[in-house]
Formats: sequence, structure tokens, C-alpha cells
Amino acid sequence: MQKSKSLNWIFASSIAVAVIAASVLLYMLVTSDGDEQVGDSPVTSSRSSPKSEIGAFGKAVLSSQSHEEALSELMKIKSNFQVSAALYAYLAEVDDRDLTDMLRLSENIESSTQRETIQTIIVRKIASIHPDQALRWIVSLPRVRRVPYLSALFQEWTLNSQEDATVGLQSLTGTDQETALKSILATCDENFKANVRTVASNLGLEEIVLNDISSTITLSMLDNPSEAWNSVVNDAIDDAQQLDSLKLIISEWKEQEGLDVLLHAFALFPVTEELSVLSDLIEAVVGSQLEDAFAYLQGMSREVRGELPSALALVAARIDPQLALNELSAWSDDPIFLQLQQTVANTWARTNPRSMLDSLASLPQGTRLDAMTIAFTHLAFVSPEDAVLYLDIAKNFLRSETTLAEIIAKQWSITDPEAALNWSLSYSESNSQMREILLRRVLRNLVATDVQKALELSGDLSSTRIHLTQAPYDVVWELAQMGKIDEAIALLPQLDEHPRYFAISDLGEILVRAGDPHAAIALGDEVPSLSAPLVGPASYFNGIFHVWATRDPQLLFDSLQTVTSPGLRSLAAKILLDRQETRPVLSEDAVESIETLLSERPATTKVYLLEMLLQEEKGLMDLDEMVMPKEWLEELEPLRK
Amino acid sequence: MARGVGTATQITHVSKQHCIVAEENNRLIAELKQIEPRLGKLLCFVMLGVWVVLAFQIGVAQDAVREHDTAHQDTNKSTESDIALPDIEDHSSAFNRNVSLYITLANADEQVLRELLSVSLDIEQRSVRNETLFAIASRFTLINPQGGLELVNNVPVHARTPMLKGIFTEWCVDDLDGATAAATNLNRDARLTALDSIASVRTDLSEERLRGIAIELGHPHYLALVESESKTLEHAYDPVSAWNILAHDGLNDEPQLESFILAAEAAIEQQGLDVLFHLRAAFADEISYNELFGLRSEIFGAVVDAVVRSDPQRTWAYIETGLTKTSATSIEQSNQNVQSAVSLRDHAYMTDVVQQLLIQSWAVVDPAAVIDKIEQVPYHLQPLACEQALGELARTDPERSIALIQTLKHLGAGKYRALRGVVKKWSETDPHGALTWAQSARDFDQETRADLVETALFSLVLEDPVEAMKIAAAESNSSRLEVFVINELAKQDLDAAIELLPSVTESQRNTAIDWVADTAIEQGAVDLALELFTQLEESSEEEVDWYWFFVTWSRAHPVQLYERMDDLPGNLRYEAARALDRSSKPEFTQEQLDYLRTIYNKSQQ
Repeated sequence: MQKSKSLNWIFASSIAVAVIAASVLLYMLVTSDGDEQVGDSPVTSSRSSPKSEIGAFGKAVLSSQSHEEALSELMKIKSNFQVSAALYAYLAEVDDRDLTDMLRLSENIESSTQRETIQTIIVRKIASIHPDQALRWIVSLPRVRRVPYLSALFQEWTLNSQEDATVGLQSLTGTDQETALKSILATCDENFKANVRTVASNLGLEEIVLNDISSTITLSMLDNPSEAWNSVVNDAIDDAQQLDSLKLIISEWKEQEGLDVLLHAFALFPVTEELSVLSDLIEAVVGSQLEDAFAYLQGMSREVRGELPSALALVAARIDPQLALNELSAWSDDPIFLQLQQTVANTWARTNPRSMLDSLASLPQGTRLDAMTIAFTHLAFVSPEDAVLYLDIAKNFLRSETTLAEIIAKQWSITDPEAALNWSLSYSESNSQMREILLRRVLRNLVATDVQKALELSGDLSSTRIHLTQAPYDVVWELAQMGKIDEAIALLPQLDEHPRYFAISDLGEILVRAGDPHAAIALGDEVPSLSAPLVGPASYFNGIFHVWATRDPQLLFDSLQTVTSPGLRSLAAKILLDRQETRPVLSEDAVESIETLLSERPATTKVYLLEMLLQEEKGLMDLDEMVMPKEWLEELEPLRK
Repeated sequence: MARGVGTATQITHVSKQHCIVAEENNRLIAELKQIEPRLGKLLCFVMLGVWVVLAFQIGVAQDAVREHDTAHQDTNKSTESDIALPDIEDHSSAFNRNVSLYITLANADEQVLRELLSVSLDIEQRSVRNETLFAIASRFTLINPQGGLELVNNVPVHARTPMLKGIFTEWCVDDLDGATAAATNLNRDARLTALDSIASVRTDLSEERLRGIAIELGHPHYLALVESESKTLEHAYDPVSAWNILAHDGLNDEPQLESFILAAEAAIEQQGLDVLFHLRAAFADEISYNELFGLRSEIFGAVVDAVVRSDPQRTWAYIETGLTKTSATSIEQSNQNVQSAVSLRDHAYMTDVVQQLLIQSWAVVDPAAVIDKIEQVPYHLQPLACEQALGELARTDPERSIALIQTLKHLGAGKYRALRGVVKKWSETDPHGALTWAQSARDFDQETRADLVETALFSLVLEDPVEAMKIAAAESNSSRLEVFVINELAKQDLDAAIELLPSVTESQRNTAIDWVADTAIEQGAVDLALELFTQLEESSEEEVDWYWFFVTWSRAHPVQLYERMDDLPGNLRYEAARALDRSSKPEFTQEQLDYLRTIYNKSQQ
């Protein structure tokens, strides 16, 4: 051993001279071409420049005279790696102050993928110097574009200062915050995760931290999938939130247990409501051997297999619907057979509607209508012209295509109500029944673009909302859904009595909710008296007073004297008094005053009687001349004093 | 200054001892740079030489140890090279580390890349490791794509996805066909990663071409999966339009929930919480005054819950004042802009609707906070807040929820709707507890009590059907409750329901059988239903109504009934034909309808 050491020293000393000589030579080489020096940091080293080391592809970028030109040169590079390499090298020597300008310039890049790649790298550079500035730029973008930039920023930020990054995290909300948190977790030290967990917990995001920890544990336990599975299943996090981990484990587990692992999956998600999660989970197991999986489940009892056949049908329909249908033909004696066929057909319609419609003949007859409904709902929205073409094919498989035509009219009208209207009129031709059905579907979206036209069309149509009234009511209802109350009120005189009554009833309550109950009282003057016993002013005011008393009883009390009709005033007073019993807010004096009012003029809560009283008040009816049940007369007597 | 995290560099692939040498070298280079101006460059390099000698000596001394350890080295990681990845420790920022990384990679050949890959697997930080693997795989693909793909098989599971992304992101640019063909040999998950990478890079491809690739890679449903995401991106500046597309596109809402939430957040960021009124309009058919009903409205409810959860302060400010406050700014400018575009009255109404939505969600997200602040909630919203919060609180703290019923009676806590909410939510976690309370409650009228017992029984049926049946039988409205228990059980477990049928009071047994048969039909177990009804006919003194039996069947599976009709006895065939003719489903052909009428008319004659 001693001898060996001596030899080493002799050897080392003898090469020392050679190394020193080599060092001098190296020095000479380096000083003759500083660009080749290996530097600690391309930015901090004054001699080091990455430009000459990046390869031929980046030369044009690196020799650009302006940032605009550099970006333009980057666009000419197809390779994502080469773009990144050239840009990193270029940015290494760009002045900090130019970076925001480069981001602005890069917004003009047409390709979203290239723009994202380039901007992500620029963001990283800014983040390395001024993370706050990077964050400001990111939040100025539309929210849906922020994910890659937030991930990059918080990675860089965390590597520079974990504490500062967690402070930055707290300035965000919602999805942005979740993205930032995930980036911090993917980057920070293991022992810093406890701090992150505390912050996340305060933000209501602790589950994300726990999930991250669980994923790490899962990866470390993959050699023993059974244990890994138990670990995930028994932790504190919702199993459905850990689907990625579970998929990973079950794929590994399958190598040991084969298709029996399906039973573990089912045990975890046993109820029908979790079918979609179950299907996602088992896709990793059965995706490549659908036939085997169908055969495996076929012999099992209902109790053992549970929802697995349905989950398998979902998976198979997503991957190969035709194969799924073929496999199901062996299940015709099973009670679940029809349900599985429908699942396949519907899933096919949802995931690839055109393919499903092209293959209608191969679908079982009983599944077609539902599947077509799904396919047309999607197709008529994204491509109505295609839907119209497919309607001709669909007719061969249906006795009546009305349902599908209705779907086309409705879905098309969302994106282009005029076009949908024209198609509906032309398609229905002289078929008045079809015309009415289609126009009713178009009407609601036409209101958004042309109220008057919608109103004109609605005249002949029945309402889709209230049985036995006309569609002009629907026009007002749609305006109210858009928050256009004033416009809806202005439309009322154009409505016939029947739809007008229902429209006024809605608008009156809306006015109270909008904090303008006096306008609702005024609108009451417009309420038509219909010849039906429960629809008229009394019914309207009964609704108004109830909503008003719920929202602002004091104001209703203060306004009692402005209600001119004695019958209605008593009704309002009675409603206030009833409410006072459960939720007292009025003063004793106020209550006393109400009681006095009611003792002088009692109220009835029977709307039909009040309706008659109001008619009499207006001189439209003489109750003494009316023939009515004796009990009614007895009840009316004190009210008429 | 970058944090000291860099175990990732010249680490275990060589021996630990070589790592020390390399690290010392780097440190020396740094030190030399600092003293360079004072001593002159020549001296620096002389020192470097001396240091290399010293380092070599250390290395030599430690080689003995290394040789001893060689047998234990992981062959995958073993290399005698000095190849090293840039270390974060050695750079002033992670960005600069990436500059060095890409320079290193740009100049690396296949062998060097293999060695760097081996080193990079040990990088501690997941995000840094993944982006390094991505970059190495990308660079490898430029040299030898097929070789890059082969490398993936030799790395641990967690390293595969970033490598596959790197490979296919690069490969599909110049050789899409080759990349696609290579991907077909991967497993399903890997194929999906490849497809995703191809789709994100090759945005120039037509939908048809992309669909073709998706089919080739065994993921034909891929386009539907990413559709909502791309739609929200297309309408990045108009999130309300993005929302409306998501709401009307006819696709399943559930998988699109994240996109819905993102679109809502973006819309709120632009226009304040007022915009929830307009987002709600897409689901208006399923939302009444203050209630969400229908399956689709659940998605809208989930979105509002997410909005509330993400910023409770802003939610509370809006509930209190009707104004949007964000965490970052006091009152959003856009809120004022919206106000100016609509009348004050219109705006007041919209605010009212949004306040209702928010208070309901807030009560779901944080019931305890709502209860604590109930007196500060605007007067007209207090009953709704109370009702919702009491129900939610019952899930986790039923005792407090029950105690509050008395305290908050003035806010409607004692009314049926609130009580039902409490019992329903409580029974989801503790059906026995909820049932015992509902049974023993004396303050309510008989009808309310009976409804509460039924509500609690709903959950107990699934947990303990025999017990549920016993309790149902002991109640004053037992006839109704026993049938209820059987019906609910049949929906979840047909066999268990049939097993329990004998325990139903005799007077109610026929009705119970009727319900079970209907459920069996709906679940496709028509032979079982036929058997039940036939037994009922044989054992019952009352006439069995086959017509309604077939009406149920014709509604659930009309084509199946049509196909099975000829197997039925004459009288039943007639009833079946009558039921089918009544439903007159559009999927029947005219010939089929004519045949039905033939049977129908023949029987009438």
C-alpha cells in the first residue's frame, strides 16, 4: 500500500509539469478566442458569450441587429429545441430593460405554439431578475393563456427564493393560484413543503399539497403496487383527485394480477355516479385488450362485476366503438345488454359524431334515436350545414325527423339566429306543424338580435314556457333573462292580454327584486283582468307583496297608504302581520297601526275572492248580482264593508 | 443568488469522489475569475494547472475506493466520463443555468447525451428534472429520433412523459409520418402523450388529419378531449363567448368543468362578479328564482362554488354591497363600465340574482363562516343563507346544526325546507343519527315529521335495507314508506329488493312488486319483470294491469319490446302492441307500426 502511494506521488509530480505547461497553452488559446471560454455564468462573465457555441442554426438569430429581427429569425427555425437554444443564447446578453419590449413584440407571433415557447423563455429571463415584473405581464394576459408562463415564473422564482415565491403565490386567485402552487411544489425543497402546506392551507388549497406528497410516495412505491394502492386509497385525499397516481399503480399492478385488478378499481368507485371516473381508471388496464376484458367480465355475477361492464363499454366506445358493439353481441342474454349497447352508441355519438352518423346502419335500432340526438346537438352547433346534410341520412332510420330538425334549429340559432330562422322556414315549407315547432326553437335566440322580429314571429306560436299561453310571453321572459327589464316593460303593450298578464307577473317581482317596488305597484295598473279565477290584479299584487315583505317589510309598511285599493292595502297589511310573527322587524306602533287597519277592513288571503272584490271596486262587477256559493258570500260580507 | 440545491450535477454516475473533483474545479474557476485582474491571467492558469494536479491526486487516492465500489454501481448510471450538467448552484439564476444547459446540449453528441440523461435522472427538483429530460430528449431526437425513443424504455416511469414530449415535439416537425408510425408501437398512455405533443406543435394540421392520427394512435376521442380547451383559447379575449360555447356545444359538461371555471374566472376578471348573471343565462332553463335544478345546473353550481372558494373576501364584499372587490384592487373599474352600459334598475336586478347565487355557494363552501356572519348578510338574503348553511353544516357538525335550528328560527330555520336540508345532508354521513333525530323530533307537525323520516330513510336503505324496512313498517305512514324503501333499494340493487319483498306488509306487497318490476324493466331485466308480474297475476286476487307494465317497457326499450312481442301470449301481445302504438316512437319504421296495428286490430276483432 505504501509503495503504491509513493508511485502515485511520483506519477502525479511528473505530470504536474506537463499540466502546468498545458495550462499556459490553454491560456494562450483562451485569450486568442474568448468566446470559447467555459464560464460560470454567461451573463456575469464579461468574456464568456454563448453565441459561438450554440450551433449554426442560431447564427442568424444571434447576429440580428434588432430584437424584432431576432424574433423573425427564430420563426424560421422549425425545431423547438433549436429555437429554445438560440433564444436562451440570445437572451443571455439582452439588456434587462429590453425584455418587456421583446414580450410585446412577440405578441405578434402568429403561431400560438411558437409564441408560447418564445414568451415562456423571455418570462424566465425576466423572472430571474424581476419576478414581480414578470407576474404583472402575465396577469395582463387573458386568463386562459397564463398557465405556461405562471409555471415558468414560479419555477424560476422558487429556485431563486422559495419564500418570495410563496408570497407571490398569495397575490393570485383561482386557477392562477393553483398553477403557481403546483409549480412551487414541483420545484421547492422537500423540507420546505411544510411551509408551502401552511400557506396552501390558508388559501384553501391544502389538497393540492397533499396530492403532490401522495404522488411522490406513489412513485417511490411502484415496485410494490399493492402497497402503493393501499397508500393512495387510505390517505386523506379524495380518490378521484388522485386518478393519475391510481392509473400508474394499476398499470403496474396488472403486470402481476392481470385483469383481476379491475375488481380493485371497482371496489374504489362502486356507485353509478362514479362511472366516468371508473372508466378513466380502467382504461389504463383494458385499453389494449378490450376483447379479453369483455370476456373476463362476461361470466361474473352482477354483484361481483358491479359497474365494470358499463365502465368497459365506455372505454371501448371511446377507443373502438365498432369492436365494442361486436363484443356486446355475445351479451344478448344479459339484462345489462341494452344498457351497454346504448352506452356505446351514445359515447360514440359524443366522441366522434360524424363517424357514428356514417355508421348508423351498424347501430342497433333501439339505440339510434338517443345517439342521433347527442350527435346532432353537437354537430348542429359546430357545423349546422353538416348537420343539415346528415339529416337526410338520418331520415332513412327514422319515421319522423322532427326531433332532429328541432335540434338543428335550436343549436344553429345560438350561433346564427337569422340563418337558423331562414333554414327553419325553408325546411318546414308548407308543413305548419313543423314550422311552429322549429320557430319556437329559434325564437329565444332571435330575441338577442332582433326583438321586434321575434315578437312578430311569436304571435302565432304557443309558449314553450307556460302551458296555454302564447309565445310573446317567451320574448319578454328572454329579455328578463338578459337583464333587460326596461326593454321588456316597454314591450308589454304589444302583447295580447293573456301573455301580457304572465309577463307582467314576472316583471313585477323582478322590479321588487331590483329595489323598485313602487314601479311594481304602478305596473299593477296594467294587469289585465282575465276571465280565469286565479289570474288578475289580486293574484299579481299577492305575489308582489309577498316578495316585498320578504325583502323590505319596513318599506312596505311605510308605503301602505300609497296602495289606493282598500282590498289590496288590507292584503299587504295582512302579509306584513303574518311575517311579523315569524320574523319581527316592525315596531310595536307599526304593528298596532296594521291591526287597526285590518280591524276596519279585514283582509282575505283567498285570491279568487279578492279578485272579485277588486272587480267590484273598479265598478266592473256587482257582487250582489253574482251567483256564487253560500260560503263565498259569507266570507265576502265583512270584506265589503 | 440561486439557492443551493444542486445535487443534480456531476453526481453518482461517476463516483462521488469524481464529483468532488469536478465541483472543486468549478469552484476554482470561479475563484480564479475573481482574482484574475490582480494576478494576471497567466498566473491563474498556472494555478489551475496546480489545482488540477492536486485534484488528480485526490482522485487517484480515491480511485481505490471507487474501484471497490464499482461492483455496486448501477450499470445504467455508470460512466467514466466527466460529462456534467450545468448546476443551479453555479449560476446566478436558473435562467442562466438553462443557457448553459442548452449550450451544452447543442454541442453534445449521442454518447454525451446518453451520459447527461443518466445524470439528469437524479436532479432533485421535479420541474428542473423534467425540463432537462425534455431538452435532452429533444436534442437526441434531432440526431437520432428512433434512438431517443429507445432510451425511454430504460428510464424510470416518472421520467418517461417529459422525454416522450421532448421526442415527439421535435420529431413531428420534419417527419410527422415517421413520428406517428413510431408512436403506434408505444403503450396507450405513451401514445396519448405523443399525440398530445403532435397536436400542440402541429397546429397547421387539418382536423381531419389530426383525427386520422388520433385514430391511428388508438385515441379517436382525443379531439373531443381537447376541444373545450382549444375553444377557450380561441376566445381568450371574450370569455363570455367561450363560456357560451362550452355551455351549448352538446358535449358532456363534467369533463369540461375546468374549462368552465377558467372561462368564468376570466369573465369575472374582465367584468366583475356581475358577469355571473350573464353566465347563468346559458343555464336559465334549469335555474329558477333561487334554486338550481336539473343535472346541467350542477355544473353551473360547481363553477360558482369554485369562484367563491377562490376569493371569499371578494364574495363577501359583493354580497354585502353588490360591488366587485378584487384582492388586488379596491373596486373593479370594469364594474363601473358595466353599470354605465345598463340602466340602474337593470343592474340592480342583476346584482340581486348574483347575490343569491353567491350566498348559496358561500354557504356550501364555508357554512360555519356564513352562520357566524348571518346578521351581517343583507336582510332579504338571511333566510336563504341560513337554510343552505344549516344543511351543509349538518354534514360535518350535525349537533351544532340542530342547536342552531332553535336559535335561527326567525330566519326560517324551523321551516320544512331548512329541516329537510339538515336531515338530507346529515343522513348522507350518518343515516342512523339523522333518522333518530327525525323520529324523535316533537316540534314539527305530523306531515313534516313523516317527510323528514322518509328523507333520512333514503340513505339508510342503501346502508341497511332490512333495518330501513323495519323502521318504515313501524311508522304511521308505513304503507307508503315500505314501498318507498323497496323502490329505492331496487334502483340500487334489484336482487336485494326482490329478496326483501316478502317483508313488505301484505296489503302493500302488490304495489311494491309493481315498482320493482318497473325498475327491473328500466334496468333491462325484462325477463325478471315478466316473471314477477306473472307470479303476481297468479297469486293476486286483484286484476293485474299488463297494459301499464308494457307502457313502462315501451318507454324504456321500445325496440326490445317490439322484438319480443311475438313470444308473448295472445292477450299480452295485444297489450304490448297497444302500449307500443301509444308511444309511437320515431325510431320505428312505418312497417313496424303497421304490424303493431295489425296485432292491435286483429285482437279487437
